[in-house]
Amino acid sequence: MVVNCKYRLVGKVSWTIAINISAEWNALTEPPSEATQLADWLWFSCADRTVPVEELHYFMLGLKVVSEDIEKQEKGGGTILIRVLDIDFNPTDYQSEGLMPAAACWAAEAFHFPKPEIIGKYDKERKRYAISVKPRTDSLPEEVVSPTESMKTSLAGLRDAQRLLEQGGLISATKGAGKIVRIALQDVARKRGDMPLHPDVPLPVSIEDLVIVLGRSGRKAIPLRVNKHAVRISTWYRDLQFGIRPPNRREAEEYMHSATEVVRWANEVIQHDTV
Amino acid sequence: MNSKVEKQHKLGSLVQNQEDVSRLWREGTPFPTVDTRAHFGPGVYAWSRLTDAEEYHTLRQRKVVEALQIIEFRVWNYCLRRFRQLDVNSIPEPEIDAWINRHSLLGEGPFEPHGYQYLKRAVGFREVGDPAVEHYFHSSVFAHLWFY
Repeated sequence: MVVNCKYRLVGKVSWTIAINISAEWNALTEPPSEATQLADWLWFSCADRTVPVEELHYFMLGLKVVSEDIEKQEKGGGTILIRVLDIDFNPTDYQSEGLMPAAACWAAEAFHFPKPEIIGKYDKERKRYAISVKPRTDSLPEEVVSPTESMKTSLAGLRDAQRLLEQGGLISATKGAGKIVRIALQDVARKRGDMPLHPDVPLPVSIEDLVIVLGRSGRKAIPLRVNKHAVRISTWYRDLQFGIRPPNRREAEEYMHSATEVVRWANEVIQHDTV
Repeated sequence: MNSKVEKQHKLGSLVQNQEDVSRLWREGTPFPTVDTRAHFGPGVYAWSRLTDAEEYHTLRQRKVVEALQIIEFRVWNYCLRRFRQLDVNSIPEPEIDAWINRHSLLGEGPFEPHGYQYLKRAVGFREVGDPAVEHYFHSSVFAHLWFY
C-alpha cells in the first residue's frame, strides 16, 4: 500500500524543513533478498536513487525509533518491508536529519498510530535545526532510575561489551558500547540539570546532540580529550546500528577504547559533581 | 559602468534544466506549482548574489543527473521598487513562524495567498557564513524580468 506523507518543521526563522515522502509497505512471508534489516521482522529498501546512503541512515533511524509502534499495530508476526519510492524536499533549506522525523511521521500515518513527539528547534549558533524524536525503545530505564543507579548499569554493560569483543563479537560489542555511551551522556546531562528541560520534552536521541547540550551547560563542559572520543562514537554509531559498515577488529577496539574513556568521564562527573 | 546600467538590478537565477531555461526565455509558463519548487506560489525563485547561485547550483547538481545551469536576468530598479514587497526576515521573531505557516506551502497551513509580488527570504542551505537570500517574483511581474 502506497502512503504519501508531508513532514514540515517551521521554527523562529525564515527557513523551514519540508520533506514529502512516498513509500509503500508490504507484509512478506519470507525476508527480502535485497533490503536492510532494521529489526527481526522489519526491513527497509529505497527505490529513490537520488538519496545518498548516509542520508538514508536518518530515515532508517526514524523507522527504528517507532518500530515498536509498528509492531504493535501489525500483530501478524510476519516480515514487513518498507520501500521508499520517492523523497522530495525543498533544496534551499534541506537538512538530511529531517528524514528521521519524516520517516517516523510516515510510519505513524501508514500504520495508524499517534505521531511520535518531535522536537525541532532552530539552533542559532549552528544555523541549523536540532531535531529529536522521542525514543520509544530502551528509554524506560533511563527515565525511571537515578543517574547514579543508571551509571552502575552502564559500567556493568561496558564490561559485558568488552567481554563480547574479546570473544570476537565485534558488531554486538560496539553496538552495545555505543548505546551505553548515549545513556551515560544522558545521565550526565540529567545530573547537571541540563535535562529534562520540561517533563514533556524528550531527551536528545543522538550522541551528537547530547555532546552539544553538555557543551552548552554553562558549567563544566566536556573536556576536549573526552569530546574527541564522543565524536568518534557518534560518527560510527549510526553505521553500526544498521550494520551498513561493520567494523574490523582494530576499529572495534578503538571504538571500545573511546566508549570506555567517555563512560569513565561520565562516571567521574556523576560521582563527584555537586548539583 | 554607465548610468543606464547602474539603474538596473542584476540577479542570478538557477533553473533545473534546459526545459526550464527555454520556458523562462519564452513567457515563463507553465510555472511550477509543486510545494517544494514554488512554496510562495507560481513565479521565479532567484538569487541576487552570484555566489549564492553558484553554491546552490553545486548543491543541487549533486542530487540530479541532468546538467543544471545558471541563467541571469535583469529587472529595472524603478520597477522593483514599485512591486508590492516584503523582506520576510524583517518580520519579528515571534511572528515569523506563523507567517511562514500561513503563506508558504512549506508551512503547516492552511495556506493563504500572501498578496506580494516580490519577497526576500534567508534560506538554510549554507552552514557557514551569512545565509543565502532567496528572491521570489510572482508570476504577475514576470514581464518585468529580462532574461538573457
